[in-house]
Amino acid sequence: MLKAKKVVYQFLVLAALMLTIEAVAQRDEMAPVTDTYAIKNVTIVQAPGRVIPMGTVLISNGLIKQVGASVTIPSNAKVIDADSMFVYAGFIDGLSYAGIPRPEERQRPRDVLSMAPPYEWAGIQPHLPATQFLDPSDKSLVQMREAGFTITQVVPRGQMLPGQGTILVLSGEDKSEMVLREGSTLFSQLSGARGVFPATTIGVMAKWRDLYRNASYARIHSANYASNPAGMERPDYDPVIESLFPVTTNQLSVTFDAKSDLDIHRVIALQKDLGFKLVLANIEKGWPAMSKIKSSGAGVLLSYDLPKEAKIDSSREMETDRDKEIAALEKKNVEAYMQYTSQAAKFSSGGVKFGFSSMSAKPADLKKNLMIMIENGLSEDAALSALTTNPASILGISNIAGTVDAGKMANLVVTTKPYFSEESAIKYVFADGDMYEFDIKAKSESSTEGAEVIVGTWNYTASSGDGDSEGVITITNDGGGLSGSMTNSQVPVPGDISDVSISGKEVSFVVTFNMDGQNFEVEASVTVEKNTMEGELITPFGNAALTGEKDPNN
Amino acid sequence: MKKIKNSIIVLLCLVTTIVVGQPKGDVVIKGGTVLTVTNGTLENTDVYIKDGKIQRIAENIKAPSGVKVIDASGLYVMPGIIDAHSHLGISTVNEATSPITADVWTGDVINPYSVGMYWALAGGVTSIHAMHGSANVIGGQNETMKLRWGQTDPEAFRMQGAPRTIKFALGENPTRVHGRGNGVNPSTRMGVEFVIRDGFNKAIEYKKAWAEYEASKKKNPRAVPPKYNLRLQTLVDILDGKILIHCHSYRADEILMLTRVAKDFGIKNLTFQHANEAFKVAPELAEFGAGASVFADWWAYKFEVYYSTAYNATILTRNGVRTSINSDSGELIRHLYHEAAKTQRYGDLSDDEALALITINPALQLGVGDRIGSIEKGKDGDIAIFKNHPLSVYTVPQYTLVDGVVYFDINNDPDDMRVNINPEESIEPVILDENHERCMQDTEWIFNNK
Repeated sequence: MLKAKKVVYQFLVLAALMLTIEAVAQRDEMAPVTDTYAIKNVTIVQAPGRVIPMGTVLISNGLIKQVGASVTIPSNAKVIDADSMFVYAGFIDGLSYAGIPRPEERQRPRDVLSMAPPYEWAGIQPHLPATQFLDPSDKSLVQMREAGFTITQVVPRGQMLPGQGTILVLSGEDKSEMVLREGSTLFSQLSGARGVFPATTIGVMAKWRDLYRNASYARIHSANYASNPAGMERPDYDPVIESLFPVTTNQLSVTFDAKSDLDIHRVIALQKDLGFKLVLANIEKGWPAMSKIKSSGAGVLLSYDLPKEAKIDSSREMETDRDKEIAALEKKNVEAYMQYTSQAAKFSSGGVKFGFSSMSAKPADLKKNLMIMIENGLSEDAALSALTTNPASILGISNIAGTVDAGKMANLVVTTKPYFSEESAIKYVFADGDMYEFDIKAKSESSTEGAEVIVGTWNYTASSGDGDSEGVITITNDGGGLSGSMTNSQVPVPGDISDVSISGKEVSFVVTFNMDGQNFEVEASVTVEKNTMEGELITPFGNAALTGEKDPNN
Repeated sequence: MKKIKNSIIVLLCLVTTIVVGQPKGDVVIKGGTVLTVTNGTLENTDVYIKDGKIQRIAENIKAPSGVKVIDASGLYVMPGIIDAHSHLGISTVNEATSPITADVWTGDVINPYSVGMYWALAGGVTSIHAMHGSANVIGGQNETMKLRWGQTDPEAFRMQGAPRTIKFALGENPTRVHGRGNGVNPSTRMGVEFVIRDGFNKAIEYKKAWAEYEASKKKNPRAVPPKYNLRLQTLVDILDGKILIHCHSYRADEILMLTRVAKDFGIKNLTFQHANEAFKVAPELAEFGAGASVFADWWAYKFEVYYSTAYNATILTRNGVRTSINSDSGELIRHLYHEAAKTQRYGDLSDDEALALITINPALQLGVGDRIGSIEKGKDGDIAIFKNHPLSVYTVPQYTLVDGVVYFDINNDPDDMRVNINPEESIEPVILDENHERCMQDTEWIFNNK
């Protein structure tokens, strides 16, 4: 009785509150006293459908040593009493830009002709590993880990062929500790270079055929030359073509950013034409092409991003034809929204194995969006597979990651309740044997703590490679939360401000603009000093530096 | 017994190549006035389409049980309209980065969600030639499509087996984009001719280099192949007659220029698109065997299009030039029958001659005249049915069928025919995404980046 009451009480508290997590015990200058940990009295979900109800996970030297109901804990182990907690294999993200900063905008030199640009201006750099661009101190890596990810495959940013993937373990401070595997895949997109060939999807597809066939011939030429160069024309030095050799022999997979079903059809057409080993990634809308995906045999990484919930305005009066027409259109938007939320379930029941990709999703949304997918028919086991075993297999690391088994990397997620429940929170993440502990504190949803730094009207200027724009940011506190709007001289209609988050002087928020019926989001992060602000706008069209001043009249 | 039946089904599946999303229908269209275009007009005649093909054209055909019947009594039944110049149904129109982009192909970016295709069906159109734009001298390859609206797989829209075609462009567009926009050849009409000749000459060398490699490879397995080049390979395919040329052009002098270039390089199959001044060189075009695909009465939207006449299509037809009337527009495509009818107002063409401009003639220009463009036994069941004669100003499209399947029915025509819905799309304001003239789409950056 008492217990039931307690549960109800907790439920009420939790329902009214939003959980926020904060890393408190990051690895600092001092090395931990031990690298042996015993997670005791914990429910061990070794793999989807494989559960030890009460047991111990012993890890040491970055590896899982023992998993079981009765494990002898060595004296040098730090014991973690995880009573009533749950441990899972550390989540694996199939594709992201974590730790890969956006490149600076560059002005194309006048002598670079649009018809014959050098590779670097054509967006073709398949020989460059993501490692080269990695900033191990980038906060996006920490955000991934806070969501439970312990491994991610990162790729360079760019256009047609931005470079090669690197698989990272989300622990450690420098590349030497983080890099698990370099050259894990070749990353490609159907997006063209700006103003030079290939500038469009048709250009990219033509260039793919051209490069691939060139590489196929050049590979044979190079091999012949290597075996006996006497009397033979020397092959050109061309690192771009050479980096495609393993693609032509199916030793290196090609991972395509294929957000929509149209992208998927186009990429599969290329694959059928050329025959490379394919992974379709960052899929936001793939269900219309599901059977084709299945028969292509491609690896599948769905985006866990979901569109904003579409709603029907039930207060609308249905008097005029116009009202009825609007209601019918709203209904279609809601039906379309449901297609997105049930995509993962459709793929799962259709027998297509998939992992997830963070490329265009926010790690902080992972749990929330997974719960929506589960509400719409995805089983918890299938969701867990998509976070662990499936991406491990797509990335080719099943032998070292993806399950809680002795001998695997010590990558673990420990949660306070079953992960797939509303009230669960992540208490520990182990990555490569390093422990990260999170302080779980309940914070009121309507908290506007420290809001006074940002509330008000700000005039700002945003500068990017394309020139300057200006506008007004207005943020108000209506007691229930922070909201507002932002104008910009390059966008006809003001955007709505949401997701305002404040940490001292650091403020971030999201602005949703609508242009020609399409929404796009701008992420703003600024540092506020009394009456001035300085920071950055991240837009789909590139980054801009922002400086603003408080409007003295408001 | 069941087992035998199953194995028969399996066998049937093996021998019939079924293309995903290209359903074939059975239907009898009863009692209409059938405008065959190639065999005159047949009053009170039935058309039986079986498995997507026209099976019989006769009076009083008894519909086999279970086969759909369309009552066309009092209606006009004509071949589905074919638009030889459209930019609907594709996501990209121009790869405007080079004076020659023969390697790109609009068929790579078929967009099943382009709602303009449904609007075209509502105007009796069943096939379109989805063309690359006119930014480049030798532009990209085009795609001949059937409007199987509602399908989501781009493959469903391809007209299987249609010959490859490619877009060329003369005059102001390529000189503006490349000469004035990018400071490279061509900036004049002379430069345009040079770009074509230079491209073909390089293609000849390229072909020769590969032929030599293939020959020497037989003796020497270590022979070094030439550098593969998809752009030059495509030009070789044009020279080998594997790709039909459709050339954006206006002025008579440049039209003659291209026929001379074609003669020099042994190219036989040429269709001039727009060709507003083609009437001035109609006998020369007839002698060459070139086609012309023109507007009924659209001109003066730029300098090289001032010298124009609504008699263009008639003069060309009377001189024996294979002529079609096209739209190049998401709006004009919805009433190509009116566009064809204008040749009767301005040139007294007969009904069959006027209808041929939007049916059999464009079909022949696209190399598919043996399959579509007229109501004949054995041809595809692509049909448009009208109330009142399609050349009358009072005509109203009623049904449009592709391969015997109804894709437009005026009595079942919901307001919102979009197939792809973005749940985040705002409901207001409404933005129509089909523009009037899209020939220069995707080239804006050239002019904005100065």
